[in-house]
Amino acid sequence: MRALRFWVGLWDLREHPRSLALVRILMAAVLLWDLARVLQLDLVVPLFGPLEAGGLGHPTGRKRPPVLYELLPATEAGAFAAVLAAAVLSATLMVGLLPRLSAALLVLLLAQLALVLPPADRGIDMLVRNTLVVLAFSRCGDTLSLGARLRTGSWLGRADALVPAWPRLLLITQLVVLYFAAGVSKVASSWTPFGGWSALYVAMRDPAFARIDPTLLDQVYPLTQLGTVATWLWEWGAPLLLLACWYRNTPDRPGRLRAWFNRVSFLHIYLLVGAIFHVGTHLTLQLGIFPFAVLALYPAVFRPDEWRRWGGGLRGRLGGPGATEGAERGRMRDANPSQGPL
Amino acid sequence: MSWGEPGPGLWPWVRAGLISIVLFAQLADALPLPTLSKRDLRHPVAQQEVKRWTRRLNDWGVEITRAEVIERGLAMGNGANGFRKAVLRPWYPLRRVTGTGQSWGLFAFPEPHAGRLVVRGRAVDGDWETLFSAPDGDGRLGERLRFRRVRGIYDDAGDRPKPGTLWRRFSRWVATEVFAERPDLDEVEVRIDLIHVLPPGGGEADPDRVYHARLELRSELVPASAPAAP
Repeated sequence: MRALRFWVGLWDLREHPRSLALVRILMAAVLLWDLARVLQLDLVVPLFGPLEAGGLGHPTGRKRPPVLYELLPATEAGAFAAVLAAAVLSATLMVGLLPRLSAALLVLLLAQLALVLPPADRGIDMLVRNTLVVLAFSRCGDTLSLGARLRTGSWLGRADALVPAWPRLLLITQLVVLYFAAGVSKVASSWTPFGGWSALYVAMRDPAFARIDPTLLDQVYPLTQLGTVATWLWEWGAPLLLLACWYRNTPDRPGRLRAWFNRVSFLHIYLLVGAIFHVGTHLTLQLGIFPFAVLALYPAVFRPDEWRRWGGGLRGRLGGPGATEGAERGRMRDANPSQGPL
Repeated sequence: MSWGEPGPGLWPWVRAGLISIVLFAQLADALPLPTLSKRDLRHPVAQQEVKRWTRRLNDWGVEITRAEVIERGLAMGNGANGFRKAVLRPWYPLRRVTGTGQSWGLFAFPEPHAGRLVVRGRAVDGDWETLFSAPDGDGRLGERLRFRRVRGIYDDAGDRPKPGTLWRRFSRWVATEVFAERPDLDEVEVRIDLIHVLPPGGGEADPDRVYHARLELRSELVPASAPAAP
């Protein structure tokens, strides 16, 4: 019964919406960028238009056509209307104008667009939609938003705002599931010593993703082997992120492992390695928005009070208005690191 | 609020129950179960893996043939597939509406027989000119073909024994774009070159193979313009 009460209590925690707002802004910005690229490259009709209008997919010819082309005309104009609507909703989500409605409508629209030409819909698009569903149920617009500005007169909203923390906890879980499932799926021999740890090298030579000249790649082959091992270990180690979050929030409890995790800032090291990994893959592989959309989830791992502390510290260094107050608040939070869930 | 102490009322319990159901379904979806089918086994990477696993198991003293490895793999695959379908069936309508899921096989099987998209063009009786050879290609065509969503249309074309309808549409679209940009070209070839990637010191790579080559003609794709006024 105690464990059950703990479980229920965990999903009933409340906190400031700062971390969720950062995820909202970053994820919407990534999405907006992606849609802008579609428009810039004039790919709206090929990717999202019906066959009869010049699209590569044939959504209207399926047994169950997407609702999108029952509501909109199956024409070029219909495709443009859908993509422009997605861009507008991304923008309203980013600035925090009716963010929950924007996220909900956006996820439904993006799911419909995904049905038009399924091969053009990638794994990262699914991650974006998963995140949007969580954001649609969250109060991510209570701070750093136009909505907050209109309601309270401040972009930051109410300083003492408390909102349900479960959406942020779900986003942390999503990140862990993404990494761990990706790690466990890596069963090809090339990810193991039997295949000479050659997976990263082979992936980087794939013409669909390659960025680096093969001759150069041959010269740094041992580095790619090291990268293969590191990627594999790091992805398999993703559940440790949950443990590190738990230890961070219960620093006063006993245990050597807890003390060690907190002393070396395991959580921060893990995320730093992740950030380096994503930036590295962006520089060495053509992965589109993948690295940025995953990095957009990272703010969820940090507690709202951590963001406030860093914000206060930054304002203190810059000497801007409210610098002293911000830095002071940051120090106060430092004195009580267990505030805020996980 | 202290840890483990839910707030008053029924709602925290209902919410925790709903979240638990969502988590269960999502984790079941994320489980990397070996959903192997006979079709998967036709893939060169799968055949290579079967060969390697048979040899490895034999080295470890397990007497097993390649056919037995395949048979057991398929049995496991069917079981895993059945389990996944049974658990996720109630979620299918919601998944279709929201486009959500948890399949994260990111570079699970890096492709040693990778497909390179090649686009070439020529004037009638002229020499072939390479316009795009993945990942290299200048201008708007290169930018568009490298865009992640467009890449999704062709990046596994080399895995398929038959090119399929989408490949034909894609080839015609690429050719139409080329003809619009390059009035001097009359023919466009779109194809996949299957290249064999081996790490340094990994032996001799298989020669490149051409897959799904399609020749598109301006006369078929671009309507003839009206004769110029005298």
